[in-house]
Amino acid sequence: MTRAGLAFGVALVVAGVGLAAPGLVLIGLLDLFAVGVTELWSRFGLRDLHYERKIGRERAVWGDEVPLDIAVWNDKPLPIAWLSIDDYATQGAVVREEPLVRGERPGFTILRSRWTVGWYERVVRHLTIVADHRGVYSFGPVRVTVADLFGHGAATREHQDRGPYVVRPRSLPVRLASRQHAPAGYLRARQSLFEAPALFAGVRPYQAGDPMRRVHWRATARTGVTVSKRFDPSRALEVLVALDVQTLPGPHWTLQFDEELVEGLMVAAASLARHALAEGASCGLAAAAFNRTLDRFAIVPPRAGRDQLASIADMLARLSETPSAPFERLLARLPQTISAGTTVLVLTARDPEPYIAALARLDRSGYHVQLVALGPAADSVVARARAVGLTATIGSLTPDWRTSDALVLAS
Amino acid sequence: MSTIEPLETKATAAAGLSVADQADVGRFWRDLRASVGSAVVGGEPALRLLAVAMLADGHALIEDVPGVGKTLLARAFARSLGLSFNRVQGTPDLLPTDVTGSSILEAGRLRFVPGPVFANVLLVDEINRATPRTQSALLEAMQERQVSIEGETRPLPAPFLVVATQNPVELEGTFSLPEAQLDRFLVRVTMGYPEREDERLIAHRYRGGTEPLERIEPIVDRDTLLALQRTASEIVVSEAVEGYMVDLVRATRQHADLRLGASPRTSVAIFRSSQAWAALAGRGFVLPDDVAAVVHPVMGHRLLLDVDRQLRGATIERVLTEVLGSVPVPVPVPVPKPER
Amino acid sequence: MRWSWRADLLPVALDGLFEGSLVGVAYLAVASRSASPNVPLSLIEFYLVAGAGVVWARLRPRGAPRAPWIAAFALLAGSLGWLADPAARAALTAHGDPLGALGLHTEGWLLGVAAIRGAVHEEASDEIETSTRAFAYAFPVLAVSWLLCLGSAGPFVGPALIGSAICVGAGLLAIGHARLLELELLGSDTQGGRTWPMLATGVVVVVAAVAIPTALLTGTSTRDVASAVGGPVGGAIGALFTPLGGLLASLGSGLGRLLGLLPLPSLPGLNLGGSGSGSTRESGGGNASGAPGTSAVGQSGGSTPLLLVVLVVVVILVVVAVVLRALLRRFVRPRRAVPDATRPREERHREIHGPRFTFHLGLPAIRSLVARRRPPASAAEAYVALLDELADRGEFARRPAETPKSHTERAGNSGLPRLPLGLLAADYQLAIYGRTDISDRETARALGRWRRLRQVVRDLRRRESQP
Repeated sequence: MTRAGLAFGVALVVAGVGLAAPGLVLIGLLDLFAVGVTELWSRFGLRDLHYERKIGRERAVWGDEVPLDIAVWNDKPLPIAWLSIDDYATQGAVVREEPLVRGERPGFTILRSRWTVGWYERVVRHLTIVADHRGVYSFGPVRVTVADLFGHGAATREHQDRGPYVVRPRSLPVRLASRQHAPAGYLRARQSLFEAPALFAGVRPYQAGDPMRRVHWRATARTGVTVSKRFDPSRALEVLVALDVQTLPGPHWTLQFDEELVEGLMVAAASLARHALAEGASCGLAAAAFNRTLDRFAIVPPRAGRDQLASIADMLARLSETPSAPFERLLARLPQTISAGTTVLVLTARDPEPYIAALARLDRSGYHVQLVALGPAADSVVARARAVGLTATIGSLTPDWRTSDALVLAS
Repeated sequence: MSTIEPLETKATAAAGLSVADQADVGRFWRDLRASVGSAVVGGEPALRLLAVAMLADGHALIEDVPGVGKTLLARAFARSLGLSFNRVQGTPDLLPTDVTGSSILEAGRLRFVPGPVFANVLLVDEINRATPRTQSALLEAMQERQVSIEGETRPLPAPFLVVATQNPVELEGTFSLPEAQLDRFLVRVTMGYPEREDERLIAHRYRGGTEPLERIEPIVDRDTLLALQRTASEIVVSEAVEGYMVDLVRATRQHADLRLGASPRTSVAIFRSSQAWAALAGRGFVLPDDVAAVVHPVMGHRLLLDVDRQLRGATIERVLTEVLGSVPVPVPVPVPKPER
Repeated sequence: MRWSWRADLLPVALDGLFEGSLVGVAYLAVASRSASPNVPLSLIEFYLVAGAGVVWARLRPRGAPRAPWIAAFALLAGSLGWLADPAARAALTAHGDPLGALGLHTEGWLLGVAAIRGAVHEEASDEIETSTRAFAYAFPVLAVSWLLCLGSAGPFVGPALIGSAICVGAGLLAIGHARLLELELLGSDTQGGRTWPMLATGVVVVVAAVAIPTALLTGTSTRDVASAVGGPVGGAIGALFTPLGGLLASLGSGLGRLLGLLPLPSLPGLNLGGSGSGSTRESGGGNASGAPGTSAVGQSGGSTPLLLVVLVVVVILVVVAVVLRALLRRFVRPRRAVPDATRPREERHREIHGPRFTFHLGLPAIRSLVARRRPPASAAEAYVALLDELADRGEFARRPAETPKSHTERAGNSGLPRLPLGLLAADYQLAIYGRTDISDRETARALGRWRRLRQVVRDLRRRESQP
């Protein structure tokens, strides 16, 4: 285009002089001027031009606003009259000040910003990312285009500069309607799997239901009061939150879901994990959902420690809204992943009929299974679970998962 | 090499501390570094913190992933000091009496058999595998420097240093130390993975089947070590630097990312650790740089992150870096001396 | 949104000038080839009709079909253009020969084309694309127009030259203005609104710098140039503000006469083409402004020094640009389509690592003149005094959370002599943190270091203040 313009301009000037047509000379000279300007920006515009993107933090919780600073530095005497920067962002990212436009690449939107930058000038724009949807997002790559103010001489460069950020679901305090409805940690296991028989730790008053072999006969004879042996736990309490992602009935591959229920389940799962870890238990997460890995099942093994809640929250951020496999298959796989005696907190919002048998099997195998039901069908879900002898509780986020201040567990 | 150090060593006597005393601690550190370095490659920052713990009469917790040399470092350190040394492996069946000792019936009389805690240096490997009751017994001994068994109080030897190791990637079957009890440890040490060249040297050290620890000879005796501890405790701390320590501790109580900031006990820990750090540098007084150097290892395990902030990516390291970057270092204007 | 002169009226004016010039030059080319020496229409009519076409298209009611709406106006404009020729009017009215009249002054129908061209700029939001697309074929169309008139004896050169210059200039300004407006709407700070006047001045200066010498070299007289520049502009404004328009037109003509009267050595004008002589316009008729000399190529006036003329014209242009700029800054606010609450906050600052063009006079800071401290008497005082000296030196100043040791490291990396600074800091630390008495000999050495470092800092300051 530049060469054609140059040739055109020169031809006009020569023709104008030769044919004594001053207008041709004028037009030719102006055309050469335009070509010169075009060439200047297309050749030098991108030199010493730096773009920097800084995301305030890589982790956010739903509802947060994360600062996003984008800066351009023109480190040369040539001003940039028109600079366009297309910063590709994964679909779903929201920037409050700049609506993201649809990109030509599937799955990406574009944060398009236009600038004028003077010579040796650095311009910083302060934007705000609104974390209004759970997920894993990233910015980048970046396409930088400079041109003169008349739209000519465009030069483009693309560079891979990625900036990820993760929006985790909210986690709320767990409020118990009564102690009876406490998630694992308070309810005694039907079998004393938490206590190591070799670690005798003293005696305690006999409680109804203690097996006869636990009675300390000598101490009973000596004191005249029936006492039972007490043992130290062989390990800390372990809890696994098993999240049933499917919210609508039917085969799991139909890819339909109730968004409100799904997000409510995510918030409930994060809240239960936070509660368990705060109580000193080791806690993990399992879900039959897509999680940006090749594994059909998303599993975070139960652990204690400072970073465990963050690991669980990151996994919840990555989970898809639709299941990747039938929930009963995940339940069948759990014994390979967790140790005997682990408390399995099943979180669901649909009728448990398809997997109730798997739950019962798990319960009989020595895992303490407790079901927490959310959503409008919670009552029937709890009734169905109790009918087969499982412990079940209703969980509620009132008025909804966005504005609730606690996960309430009640019968 | 800083240009400041030559002048510091030429300084006239600081209050109550002779140049000779400063030199002793400096020499101790050089010898210790050489001695342990013959067995352990690349662990100098961690070794320095162990030395700080010893000089400040505290205890150390080494927390890192398996296989980086935690136990080797602790053993080499203990061996270099020429002190009595015992090792305890944390297991779920470890009883409190396995640590503190118990009485046995012998020839019709009860005889007290002291537990491994009765040593100058006690290495507790994988303390998070021991049960909470056993952990409590050990932590109590660390705090009190004595144990009470069957109504009788028995003091622990001096100096007394507990070096505990812990795996942060806590697998099943562990009991993590409660945060409220972590401040029994003066410093928390991490070692990290070695550099490429160091890793090559590590493999080289085991050539010929020799055990690296066998090369280590003690560099100091018990009485000298006690004297070095006294020397460290007399290191000068100016009012300005004291104020700086307190400001740092107080700043953690106002930080938005923390659920629980540092307690006044932390100020004491910073104070003693800074003195030990300055002493190891061969200096008779504490600089603000010494305080800054010990903030992370001394404070890191005494702070509790707010869970919501943690979910938003906050970390203890970042908090402490922000605190160090925001609390002003005192550079007081000197008061002019009156004309003589 | 608030109506804005700059955002709402200026684009219409620029589009009118561009499209009007484009079609107008083509009209002049066709008209100059006709047998008749009369050119009933001037460029000003094309400007007005093209501008009116823009407005007409934007006023189209929602639901009204576009084609008939535009066609009606184009037909009206074309008719007016055709009937601008007295001969055509006479044939139609006096002689009752419509078919015969249709054959006269057919090029007048190009006025309808100007209306259509103006209507192309219907959507203000698409102005960038529309203007850029239109500008792409401006050069070829102008070139063809000029080629069409080669060898014609008609009065084409002068007005066509001006029209071509205005076409290119207005086209560039239209594109540039539209892009600037987009930048402002997207939240970019266009140098506080200074970019537009700078752009306008730059385009006008460049176009004038090329057009005026070309005009003069072709023998188009200065009076013609001034009249042609002042005339159309004056005529356009005069359509709305007749007295001011007349004044401007008179000014243009007066300037030409004044320059002709100056007793300066004359240089023969290089006559490259038919510049035309005498007024070829008939007064009245299609002259919308009524101002004299509008778009006419007048008599070839006396030639004058080229440089002086160019200088005078450039001075006038700069004065006009400065006045315009002042008016724009005072009376026109850039329109804000985006609420302030959601506009991104922008910070700008300049970091020059290359050539400096400062004219600092290197006056000592008032602070150091007024606040004379007593000179330091000890090593510690010397260090503190040095820190005070460095306090306003960004890269050397000690940050509040920086220890003396780390400050020495950083300042040393930034260029301050590391050894004396380190020793001075060490003296301070010994004295204050270590509560150690510094010997008299060491104090003297410390004061010497302080003096040397102070001199280094002052030398640096002096060097930077020099251009």
